[in-house]
Amino acid sequence: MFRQVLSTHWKWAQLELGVYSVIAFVIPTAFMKAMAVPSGANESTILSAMQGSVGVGIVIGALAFIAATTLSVRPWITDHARGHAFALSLPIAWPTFVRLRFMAGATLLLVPAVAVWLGGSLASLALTYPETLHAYPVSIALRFLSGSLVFYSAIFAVQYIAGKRAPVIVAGTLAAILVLELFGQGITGTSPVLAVWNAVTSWPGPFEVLTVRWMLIDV
Amino acid sequence: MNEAIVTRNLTYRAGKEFSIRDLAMSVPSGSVYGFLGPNGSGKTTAIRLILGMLPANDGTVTVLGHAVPSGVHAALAKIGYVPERLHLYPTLTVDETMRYTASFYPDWDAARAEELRRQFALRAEQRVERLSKGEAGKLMMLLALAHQPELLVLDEPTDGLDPVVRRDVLNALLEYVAAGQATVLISSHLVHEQERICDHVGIMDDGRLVAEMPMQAFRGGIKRLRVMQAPRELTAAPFTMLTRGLQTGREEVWVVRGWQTDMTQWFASVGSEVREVIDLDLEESFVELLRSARTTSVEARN
Repeated sequence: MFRQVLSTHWKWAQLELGVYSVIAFVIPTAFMKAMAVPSGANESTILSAMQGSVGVGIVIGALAFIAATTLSVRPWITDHARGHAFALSLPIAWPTFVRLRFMAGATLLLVPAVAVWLGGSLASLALTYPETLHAYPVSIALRFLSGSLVFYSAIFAVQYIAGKRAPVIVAGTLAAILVLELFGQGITGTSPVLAVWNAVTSWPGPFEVLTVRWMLIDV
Repeated sequence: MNEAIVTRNLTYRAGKEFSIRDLAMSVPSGSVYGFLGPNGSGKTTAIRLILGMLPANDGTVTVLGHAVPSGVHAALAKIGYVPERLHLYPTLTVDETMRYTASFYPDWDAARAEELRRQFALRAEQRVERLSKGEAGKLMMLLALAHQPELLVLDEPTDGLDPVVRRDVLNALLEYVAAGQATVLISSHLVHEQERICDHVGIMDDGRLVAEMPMQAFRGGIKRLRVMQAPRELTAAPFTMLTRGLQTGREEVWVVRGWQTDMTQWFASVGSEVREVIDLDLEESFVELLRSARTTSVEARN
């Protein structure tokens, strides 16, 4: 059952996943080559190289978001266009079906994550960098996987819980945040939204993985 | 178990309007039950409620002995469903669709599915989105039949199909029914098609089941009568009056349900006379039933 659900998920997203995987594989090498550190380089050159590594992290982070969006939105749109009639007519509980769909998408996130790991490994092997710096291809691949899973879970949950009301709920939430921010600033002079953001993006917040520096080369 | 489907007081509201009101239907096991009604009468909504695809506001549904919605998944494993519109994934091929569906049914008969695919002349590698309407209808019928269901629920399965495809689909259905003890619920607004294959009928109108009876009673029991000196009141009439209209002078035209030949005696007993008993074809009977139900409904509202 899971194999067939995975197979349909793959069929719907294989083209995009292929493109993302190629990008994930190529980007680390391209960036690091552009920021290559000559042997015996001074401290400022090394810092500049590390800035390049931050650039790789930003691109990989954006890619994690795009891959997660693709894998959550494509199957949902296909099912939703037919009122989920195929899924609902199958002899399987709706929560079980949703779980299978979730697991299939989460499994496929491994494809670009492996590409990030291979690309990062290749880049770190192909480059020379000072002894004070180290390459972290496994770490950045795991961060890609964690980040994309967080995005994927959030988008997937909104879709399957809110259904076709998702745009209204998202717009309503954004409006509520804006009102909360305006009131908070006006009454206390502090930003409640910033406080919430700090809480969710720092350990043990669920989005901590998105705000740490995604460095391929670091000290 | 004598009834494959039983609903009681089934009610569903879409917004403020009633879509289905107090639906009480009984589909006998082993029957081919024609679910008739004009477009928009609530047949598809009723089917979705029966299959647990919509949550009812009130009432109960039992399918193959399983309460819906709590036991619907056990029931769905024994049901073949062909919806009104194509519900399959457009980018999958016929073969992929068959494999995908098969993975959910423990009783899927792969050999039978392949046999049906050949019989219906469906190409395994053809994508669902490229199938003609007739081919799509055949594929949905294949998927409904290949897991050897005890109950087939077919929502307008031949609507929009050309006569050749319609014949293929209905033949496959009749072959399956003849071979086993399957119950079939088939909705349609094509009355004559139902006459050929059904042994029970239920008639929907405006979200209500206005009549439910064996096909024999539907076919032979509704008559148009020319009545002379018709009595004003129907006391102890042995039939059900559907409509009553003045023709000329003292002659009235009645349409009655549950007619039998010996009922002419009743007219003699009330001082009137039946001049003529006219057979109605199925479509006329269907129209008269709907007309009667609508008149009753308007009177009840007023």
